[in-house]
Amino acid sequence: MAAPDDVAELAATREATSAALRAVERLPEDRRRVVVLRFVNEMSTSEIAAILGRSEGAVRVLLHRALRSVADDLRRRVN
Amino acid sequence: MPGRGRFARGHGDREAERTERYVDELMAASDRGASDAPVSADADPAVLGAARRLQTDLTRVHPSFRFEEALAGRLAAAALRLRAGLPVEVEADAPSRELAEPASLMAFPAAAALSLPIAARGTAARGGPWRAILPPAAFRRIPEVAAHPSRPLIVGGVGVASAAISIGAVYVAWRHSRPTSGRMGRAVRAAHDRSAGSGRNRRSGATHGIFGVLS
Repeated sequence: MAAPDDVAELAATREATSAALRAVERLPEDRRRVVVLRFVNEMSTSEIAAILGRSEGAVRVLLHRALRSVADDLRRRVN
Repeated sequence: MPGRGRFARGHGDREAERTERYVDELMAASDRGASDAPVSADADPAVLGAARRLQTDLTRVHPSFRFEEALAGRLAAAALRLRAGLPVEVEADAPSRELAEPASLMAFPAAAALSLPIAARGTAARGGPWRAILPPAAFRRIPEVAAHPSRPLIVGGVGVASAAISIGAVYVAWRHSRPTSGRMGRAVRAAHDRSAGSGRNRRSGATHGIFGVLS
């Protein structure tokens, strides 16, 4: 049987993971696509740009804004 | 003010480039198995924190990853049965729990611009509107993708139900040949090695399919 500390830590980890997923789900579609292609499919910026028909600069900005949105979302959740 | 606009755009681009560099370092550290996340002094800590969170959590729990894990596990089980001389009972018509949720198939983002046919459409899914399976020829028209002619895409979603198992096998075969060493690739390569008894560089003739799933 897991120790109470382990259970609490596991619960906290799952909650944080769930919050991150919800934050990704709330992203506008173009940002969400970039996030999933980057982190799940491990694609490079140039590959994502080719797939989405955007410039590499646009993909970089989309990724940056997506991460900013996720960070803001997670911060609001904590507060 | 034009000058201010130019400055703002340039500043945003530099921030985005710093973020991109950090994500690259983060994923490289993960591939190396490094225990510590890379440090970047010149980027926004909140953005970097979000990148770390997504790098660790999104990959592990994202439905497309679970789909791939389930597929790899199924192939490994089939390989064991083959080695034991038992008939392989691929449950192609009995979707597993991971594959049982409804999936929708629709245009890949680049498809409209390229006037490409859509291979299949399905019912609307609760998970979102962007999933697709496109014929391989579709992606060969994109120069950057043509450099990786067998590269499939799985982006989100919960899998494409049982009908996609054969396509999934193509995906696994392709993934086996992919040179990167991410967690997804490693998992699939491990399953492939168990099932085919092959080396890392063995390429399958079946790897020219393109599998695009977007959600």
